[in-house]
Amino acid sequence: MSGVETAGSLAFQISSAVNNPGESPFPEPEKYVVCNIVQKPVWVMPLFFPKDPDVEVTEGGVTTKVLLVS
Amino acid sequence: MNLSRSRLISSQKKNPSPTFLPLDLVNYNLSWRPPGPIENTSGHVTPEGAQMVHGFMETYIGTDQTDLSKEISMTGSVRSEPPLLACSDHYTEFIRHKKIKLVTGKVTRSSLNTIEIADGFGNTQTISDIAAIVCATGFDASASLSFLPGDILEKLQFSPGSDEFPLALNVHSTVNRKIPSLGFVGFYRSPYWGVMEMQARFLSALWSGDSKSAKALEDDTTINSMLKLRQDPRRAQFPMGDYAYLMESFASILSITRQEPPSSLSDTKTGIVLPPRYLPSSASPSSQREAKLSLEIIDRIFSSSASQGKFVARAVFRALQGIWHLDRKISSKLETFPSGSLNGTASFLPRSPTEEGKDMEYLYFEEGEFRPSWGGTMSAKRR
Repeated sequence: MSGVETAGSLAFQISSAVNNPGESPFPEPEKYVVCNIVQKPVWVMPLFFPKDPDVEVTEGGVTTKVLLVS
Repeated sequence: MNLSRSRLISSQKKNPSPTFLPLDLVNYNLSWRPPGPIENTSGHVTPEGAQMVHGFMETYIGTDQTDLSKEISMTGSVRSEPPLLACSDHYTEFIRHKKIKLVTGKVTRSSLNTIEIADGFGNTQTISDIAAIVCATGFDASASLSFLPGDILEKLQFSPGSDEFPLALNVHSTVNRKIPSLGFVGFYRSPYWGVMEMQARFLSALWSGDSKSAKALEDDTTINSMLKLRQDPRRAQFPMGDYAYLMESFASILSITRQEPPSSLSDTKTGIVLPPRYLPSSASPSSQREAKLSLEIIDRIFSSSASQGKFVARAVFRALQGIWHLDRKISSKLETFPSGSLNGTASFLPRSPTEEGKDMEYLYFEEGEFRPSWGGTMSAKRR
């Protein structure tokens, strides 16, 4: 599990402690912040991705979906 | 219309209504690869290769992440460096909401309640009032290899400091020519099930006396690339990350013919790399049935994504996370209740689902100033 996933899961647990009904599993959860110490910037992809984020626009206004080459 | 002319003046813009798919069904598309045998695109990353992947990520993610925080901004010299990727549904919006704070640097000192971080340019900062420290600093395979006797480790050129390739192995990290009776499956960073299956098939063919597999081991050059990558500062994040190449390479050694989608033309490479497309001819009827079933399920996923907007709601719902500006005009039909305008914020705060079987849930909360048409202001809140 990467630091991104770990930090995301921790922040999610804190957010749940603040926002779920009932008593929080630990006191004053709203006061917690996750500090993620990183060395380089990372692209963070959500688990669902657009298949066709770009479209090609041609002269006649015809729009074709294009695939990008990775 | 002149095709080349129209192509010249065509331009790309953001698709206002893209279709969505699970991440793995967007990547690894064979039709994106140039004609001919599939070559390895992973391992060493050139600056040009890096720029291409960074550009691809920006297109698919939709921003260069500068909008989130400068620490995660993908601009400047980083665009020529090997790209680093991670997956998370909530992380980015927690950054925007300042629930995750990014600090660039390395921890140089820590005590019970304070840590010191140096950024490599002579700047240090401290973080205090710490509740817990989590070391998400990676997995080290070297420690778990200590069960192997010293002479074997030596033959395998064991390098405990090499995170990616602690052992020197042939044929995509499966076996070393000097000890052909010792095999490894899934022994590389971030292995895929499909590749592990192929590695296991390769080993079983090798150990059953298959001459093609023996020849592949004899002629192998992947070990040379592997050893070079150990020292390479431009090594990819996942140095054996080219799933398509690995699958195709093993398929060719094992004489497995990739199954093509029924509608595709012959001699074309198309579709996503999926393990059930790579069944050996010796596969049992029940594995063949299972593979067929899996491919049908995946086909249905593609077609409902393409024609019924499947996953759009999932993608939109995820993206709601965080705090939004709220401007609402209220025109009341009840005389006793005022018309007016509400200005404030609407918050979608993630929490674990309170109903079983649900995937995602927010606490919705809005607050702001309500200005009734008859004058004055009052604060308003709603959960």
